[in-house]
Amino acid sequence: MSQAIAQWMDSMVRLGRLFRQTFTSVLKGSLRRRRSQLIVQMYEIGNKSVLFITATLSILGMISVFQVLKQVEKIVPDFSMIGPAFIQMMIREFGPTITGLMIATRVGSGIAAEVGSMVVTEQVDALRMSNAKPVDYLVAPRFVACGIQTMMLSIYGVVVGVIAGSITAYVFWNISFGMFLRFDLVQWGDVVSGLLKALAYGFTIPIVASQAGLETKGGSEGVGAATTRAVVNASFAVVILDLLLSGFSYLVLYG
Amino acid sequence: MTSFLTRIGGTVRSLVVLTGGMFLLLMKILRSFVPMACDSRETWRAFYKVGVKGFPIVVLTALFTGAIMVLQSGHYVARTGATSLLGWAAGFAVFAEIGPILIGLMFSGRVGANNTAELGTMVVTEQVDALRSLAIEPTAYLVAPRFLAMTLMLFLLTAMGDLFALVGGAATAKVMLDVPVGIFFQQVVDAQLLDEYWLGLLKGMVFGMSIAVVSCYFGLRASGGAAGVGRAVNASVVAAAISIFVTDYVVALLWGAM
Amino acid sequence: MIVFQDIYKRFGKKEVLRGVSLNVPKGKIQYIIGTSGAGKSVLTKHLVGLIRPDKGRVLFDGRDITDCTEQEYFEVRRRVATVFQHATLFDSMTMAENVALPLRKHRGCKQKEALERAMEFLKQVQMADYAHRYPSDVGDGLRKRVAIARALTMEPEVVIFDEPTTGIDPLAAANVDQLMRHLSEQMTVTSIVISHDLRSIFRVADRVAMLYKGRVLLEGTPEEFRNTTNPVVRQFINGDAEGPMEFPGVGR
Repeated sequence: MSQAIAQWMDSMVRLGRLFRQTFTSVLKGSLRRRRSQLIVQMYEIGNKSVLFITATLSILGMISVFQVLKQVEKIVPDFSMIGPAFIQMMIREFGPTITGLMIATRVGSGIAAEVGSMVVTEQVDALRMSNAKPVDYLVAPRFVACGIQTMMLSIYGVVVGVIAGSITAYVFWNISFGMFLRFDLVQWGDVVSGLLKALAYGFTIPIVASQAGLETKGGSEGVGAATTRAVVNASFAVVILDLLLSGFSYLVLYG
Repeated sequence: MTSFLTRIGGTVRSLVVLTGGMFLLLMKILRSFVPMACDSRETWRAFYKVGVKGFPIVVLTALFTGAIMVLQSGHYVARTGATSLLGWAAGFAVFAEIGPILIGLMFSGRVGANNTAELGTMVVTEQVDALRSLAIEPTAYLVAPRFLAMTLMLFLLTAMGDLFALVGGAATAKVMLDVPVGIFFQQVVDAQLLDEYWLGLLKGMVFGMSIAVVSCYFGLRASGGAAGVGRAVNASVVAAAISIFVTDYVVALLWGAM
Repeated sequence: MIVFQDIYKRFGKKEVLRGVSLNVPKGKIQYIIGTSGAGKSVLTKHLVGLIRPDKGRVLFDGRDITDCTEQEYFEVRRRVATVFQHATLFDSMTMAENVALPLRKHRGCKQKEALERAMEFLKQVQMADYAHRYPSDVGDGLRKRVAIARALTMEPEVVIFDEPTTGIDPLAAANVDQLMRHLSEQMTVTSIVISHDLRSIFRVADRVAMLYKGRVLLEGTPEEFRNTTNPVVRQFINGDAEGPMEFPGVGR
C-alpha cells in the first residue's frame, strides 16, 4: 500500500517536471518556429473532435432535460425555471466537464498512442540525436493546441447541449423555446468558472497523456498500456480538477 | 457540395458497418452461453482482474462525484436558502444520471481500454491465430468471459459507487455547507429515490455490456504492430463513450415510458 | 495427403501467390524455402484456414477444404498443428499451462490431469525444467520447443513448422531436426517446414519446394536441389548477394 503511494508521488513529481518544462518551452517561444505543427495539432484535436462532442453533448442535454422534467412533473409542475437552471448548470459544470472528459478520452488516448508508437519505433531517440528536444517538438504544440481547443469545444458543447435540451423540452413537454432559453440565472461567476475549468482541463490532459506516451516501455504491450494509462489518468485529472475548481469557485462566491 | 455529401455518406456507411459488426459480435457472445461454451477458468480470471482494476478508481470517482454534485447544488442552496432540497438534488443527480455516467466512463478507461490493449496485443502477436489453430474458438474463450465479468462488475460497482458518492456528498455538505451528515442522509432517504437507484443500476449493467462488446470488438480488429494497438485503444474508448451516452438515452426513454 | 492447386492470393496491391501448386506426400518432411516475403507462411496458413485463397483449391486427405466454414476448419485444425514463427505462447500462462490448454479443451482433461500429461510432452522436448516459468522469461529458442510440445498434444497427423530453427543456436537446431525426423519415422507425421536453414534442409528434408515470385520455382529431393543448374536456386543455396534473383521491394 505504501509502495503504491510512493509510486504515485513519484509520478506526480515527474508530471510536475513535464509541466514546468513545457511551460518554459512555450514561454521561450519554441512555438514561433513551429507554427505549422501547432496548426496541425489544433486541427487534430479540435476539428476532428467536433462530431464526437456534438454527439455526446447533445445526448447529454437531451437526457438531462428529459429526466429532470420527468421528476419535476411529479413534484411541482412549474417548468418556468427549468430552462434557466439547466443552462446555468451546463455553462458552469456539465458543459466544460463532460467536454473535458470526452477530450481526455479521445485526445488523451490519441496523444499517448502517437507518442508511444514513436517511442517504441525509436523516433523519439532519433529526435534527441538530432538535438531536438521532445518537449519542444512533441509536447509543447499539443499543450497549447489542446488548451485553446478544449475551451472552444466546451463553449461549443454548451451550445449544442442547450439546444438539444430545449428541443427535448419542446417536443415532449411543449415548453416553448422562449420560456426555456432564458439566461436569468446565469451570472458572470458561472461563465468564468466554466471557462477556467475548460482551460485547466485543456492544459492538463496533453501533459498527462504525453507523459504516459513518453514513458512507454516495450512493444505493442507497452503502447497499449500507455494508451490505457493516459485515458485513466487524464479522466481522473479532470474529475479532481473539477472538484478543486468547484470548491474554489464556491468559496470565492459564497465563502 | 458533393464532396461534403460523399463524406457524410462515407461516415454513415462506416457507422453502419461498425454498429453491425458489434451487433454480430454480441450475437456470437450470447450464442457461446447456450450451450455454455464460455471458458470457466478464464471467466474467474476476468472477474478477478476487472474487480481489482475497477474497484479503486470507481470508489475514488464516486466520492468525488458526490462531492461535486453537492457543491453544484450548493450554489442554489446558498442563493435560495433551501437547504432542505440539498439531499434530494444531489441524490437524484447522482443515482439517476451522473453517478452511472461518470462511473461508466472511468470504468471504460480503466477496464475497457485495458481490455482492448490486451486483446489487441494478442492479435498483433499472433496469439489469437494460435488459439484458432488449436481449434479453440476465440469468442468463447476470450470474449465471452470478459463480457460476463465486465457486465456484472460494472453493475456491482455502480451499486457500491452510488453509496460512496453519498458519503462524499455528505462530507462535502458538512465541510462546505455546514449541513450535518445525519440531516443530509435523512434528506436523501426522505426523497425516496429507490426508483432512481434501480435506474442507475440498470444503466450500469447496460454500460458494462456496451463497454465489453466495444472494447473486445476493437481489440480483435487491431492490426499493424504496436501503433495498431494504440490506435485500437483510441478508437475503442471513443466508441465506448458514445455508446455509453446513446444507451443512457435509450434506457432513460424506456424507463420513462414505463 | 495435402494438395495445393493453383493458389492465388493478394493483399491489397501485392500479389503474394500467383498460381502455386504443390503436392505434399504423407509421412514425409516437406520443406518450403524462399526469401523473406516470398509467401511461405501465407501458403501454409491456407491449409488451416487462417487465410482463404482468392483462386485455387486446397485438398486435405482427399477432401476439398477450400470453402469450409470456420467451424468446419476446427476438424482440420485438430489434425494439422501449427508451430508459429515466433512461438506464440500465451503470455498469461506458464509453459506447462500453455501445453495443457489443448488437452483441457479437446481431450476433456481436468486441470490436474492436463498438467501431468503436459509434463510428458515437455520432457519430449527437454523443457521439463521450465514447466512453471512464463514465456516472457525465456528466449525465443526455448519458447519454440514449448510451442512444438503444445502442437504435439493434439497428436496431429500433420505439423506445420514455421521457421523452427531460425534464431536458435546450432545444437538446439540439430535437436529440432532430430525431433522432426522422429515424428516422421516413428509416428508417421507429415511435416511441412518453412525454413531457409540450408543445413536443416540437407539433413532431414525428404522433399524441397522453392517459392519465388509467387510460384513454385523448383520442387524435388534435396539432392536435386544441390545439383540444380537453375541460377536463381544456385544463388539462394550459395548465399550470394549478387545474382539473377530479384527481391521484392529492393531497387525501387
